[in-house]
Amino acid sequence: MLTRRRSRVIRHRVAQAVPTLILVSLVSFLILHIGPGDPALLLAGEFPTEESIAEIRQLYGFDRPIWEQYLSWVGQLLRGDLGLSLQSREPVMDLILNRLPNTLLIVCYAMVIAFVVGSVLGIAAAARRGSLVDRVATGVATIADALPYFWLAMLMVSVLALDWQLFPATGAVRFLEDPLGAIWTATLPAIALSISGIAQITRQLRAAMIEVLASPFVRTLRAKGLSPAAILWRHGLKNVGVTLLTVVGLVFSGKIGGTLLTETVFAIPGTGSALIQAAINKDYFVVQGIILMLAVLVFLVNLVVDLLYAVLDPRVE
Amino acid sequence: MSAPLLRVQDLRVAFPLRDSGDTLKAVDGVSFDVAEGETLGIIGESGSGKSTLGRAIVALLRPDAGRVELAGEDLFALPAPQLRRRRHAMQIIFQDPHAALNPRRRILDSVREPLDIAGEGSPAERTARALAMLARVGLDQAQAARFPHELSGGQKQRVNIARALVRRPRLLVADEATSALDVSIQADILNLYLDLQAEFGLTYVIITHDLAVAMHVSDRLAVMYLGRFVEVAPAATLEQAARHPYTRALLAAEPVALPSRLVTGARMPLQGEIPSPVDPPSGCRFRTRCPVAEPRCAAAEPAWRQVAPGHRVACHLVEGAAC
Amino acid sequence: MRRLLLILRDPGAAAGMLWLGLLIAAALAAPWISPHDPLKVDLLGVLQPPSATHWLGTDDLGRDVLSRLLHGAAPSLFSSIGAVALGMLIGLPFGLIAGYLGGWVDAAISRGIDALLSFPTILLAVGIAAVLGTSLTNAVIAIGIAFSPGFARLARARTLAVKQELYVDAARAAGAGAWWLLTRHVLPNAVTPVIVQAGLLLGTALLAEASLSFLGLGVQPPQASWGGMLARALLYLERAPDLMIAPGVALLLTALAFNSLGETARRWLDPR
Repeated sequence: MLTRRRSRVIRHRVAQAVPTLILVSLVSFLILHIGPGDPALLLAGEFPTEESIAEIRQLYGFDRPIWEQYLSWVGQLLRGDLGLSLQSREPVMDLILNRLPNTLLIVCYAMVIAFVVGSVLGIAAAARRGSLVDRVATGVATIADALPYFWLAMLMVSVLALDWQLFPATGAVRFLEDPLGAIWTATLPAIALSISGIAQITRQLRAAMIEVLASPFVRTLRAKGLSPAAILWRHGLKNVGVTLLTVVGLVFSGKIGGTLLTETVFAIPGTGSALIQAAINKDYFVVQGIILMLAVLVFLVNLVVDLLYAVLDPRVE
Repeated sequence: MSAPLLRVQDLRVAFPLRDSGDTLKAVDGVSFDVAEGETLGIIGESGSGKSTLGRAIVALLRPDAGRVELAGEDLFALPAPQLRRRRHAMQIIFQDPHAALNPRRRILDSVREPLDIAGEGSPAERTARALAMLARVGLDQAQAARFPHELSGGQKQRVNIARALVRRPRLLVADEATSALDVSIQADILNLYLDLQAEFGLTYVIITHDLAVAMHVSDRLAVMYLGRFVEVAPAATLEQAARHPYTRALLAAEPVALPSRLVTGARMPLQGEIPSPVDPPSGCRFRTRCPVAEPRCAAAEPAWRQVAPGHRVACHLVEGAAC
Repeated sequence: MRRLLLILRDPGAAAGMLWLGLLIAAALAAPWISPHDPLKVDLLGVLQPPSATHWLGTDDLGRDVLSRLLHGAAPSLFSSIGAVALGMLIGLPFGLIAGYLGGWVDAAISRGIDALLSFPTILLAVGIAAVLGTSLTNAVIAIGIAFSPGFARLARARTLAVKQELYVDAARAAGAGAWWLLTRHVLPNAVTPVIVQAGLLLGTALLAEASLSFLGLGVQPPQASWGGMLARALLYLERAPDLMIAPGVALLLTALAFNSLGETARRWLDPR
């Protein structure tokens, strides 16, 4: 049952979410307008003429005041309209919805890997502090933090896919058409993508578990003769849950950002590779649409985490 | 009688509570005067609102209602820049001598700071004045070059006193200014206060929970309970003829510093905890812990009564002239 | 000073310092110590393995890999430092103002920080770089802006804590105005964790710049950059997998060195 205090915290979070979400949309909108000079010039391509610029200005309403442009953009947005790609004339929303499943598959897969590996490493390191296990876990985290994961991805493609032919080197399989094939194909990208998450989770969990083990409560249990592993198993799990919850948002955000590179290396037709292509081709509405959708996704995941946290965390009381 | 140096009228300070929307009424209608050169002691338990009162007196806190007048000037009617220029006249010493000093600045720089802010004199003159004031409170030039963590608690409180006095204030508020110190050092610092008062003609407001300290240094005492004063009297009178049940309970609870004839009298130990200032009791606020409370105590707030010259009490059970 | 020397006894920190020292020297001296012109194309000698003339071999256009590696050090190093400095320069004042003033100013800035933190760093950087135009300077600006909300949030939290300190009240009682309090009491006592954060972000900035150059949104070819070299290596992954070794190792070692430097700075400035 939710107490008064918890429901107040939840109401507060939700109330804060609305202005933040509006600002997220505003930032995405303004990205097109922060460039030096006229957005119409940006859209007019390599060889702009007076007429083509004027035409574009009229077509996209750049001659109107900026807040009016924003409001009409939001209006279209709420109807699911993100404009058309300047390259393919395809609706940006269709392009995103087409590609998002590929992106979400590797992101979720990478989250699972990161949480499983990170939890095992973090807990093992805390339980046997200073041991070989701890040193290995800390070393993995240190290297994972410094590893350019697009480079790791290239190494894996080179060795595991091209030399040993264990995995397909590039591309993606639609999950709904062939779930097993999709997961198999997504394995290398997901491993590459999971690396920085493994470092974050290992480090956070190790620190949190060491704190639990040093608490007076646990010291009493140890004095009674329980082993650290038994204490961790019986009393640490709730702490593990709360600690993992606090890093979900952070790790998810990192994974979404990581898809830009991972999808490029593995030639996966997802939103990340589409964003890079659009950025290089100056296909601004695609850039804007993808940035907005991915940011909203990250925002929503963080909001859910915050709300869960308000429900679960004993310290909120 | 000449106009008082400090006049506080119906002062009220409330803090909104973040989650519930209730307010915590820390100071809830306090009025008093302090004459030039006088020392007023304010006694109360923790939670009585006495520290908040002290901060409001030196205008570190803006009250929700009421006035604070220094030498006839309403501080909170002043525009911010003017108020800043008046601040040198009223200074405060805090309870924690360490936390009151910026850990990254040398002692000399902290003591010089009020002069630097005012821009009085050349830098060399300011340094000389700061060093002179440090010497006056018993610290030498070598100590002036140190950082706060290199000094003892008593030395740090001397630094705070030097900083407060460097621009020659008229009013000094000491908020539990000795209670964080060792007992042996407390006496030194208290005597320093008394010497400085004589030397600089200071007016003191001494805020403390320590009856013995308050009796030792004060001319008059005010007893504070849950945001209000309940009894005000000359120190000697209060010691011998306290009338409010709360004051008497405080006196009875005091173990050693009081003459034995008071201790052997009827003991009325305080029971329970001080109620929450968010939702104070109706009528007389002390009634929930008062050994002699009557039904009328819950019904109405007691009015102030004068029981002797300069001795005022707010209690239904005390007879005296209304005032 | 003694504490710094003690920390340098840690072999990881010492190795990191050594690597960074060598790298900075190499970056500055690249025009003189490079064995070849990093831009010189030799279509008769493409994708050569390491040899006496080309210690690290040649790339797909016959350019000397070692020379390109040395010339790529400067943009990598200085853009990471520049991006972190810019992020701090933007974020710190916003955080200070929000924390110090409170009220609606704080609420507005905090919502802005929340909104910007909803964008993954690299996502925001790619978006900004795309609109500003592809160049190293714009990549640095993009990464700096993307870092700024993190700095602002940290500075705000520290300011809120320091504002409560008694010495701030003491200075206020002495007649100090807002500017005096901010510059002499709040900022000096709030800034340490922000500097520590800057140190810890250097490695992230390095990888972010390399990522943008890898994606074609940073340093533009034919100028040498480690990220750009990896992009070429990706094109020739099947024919010449060795091309990715040198720039990748350089990035990994430099990021490790930055991270250990940041960790050293943390232990030195913020002992807990």
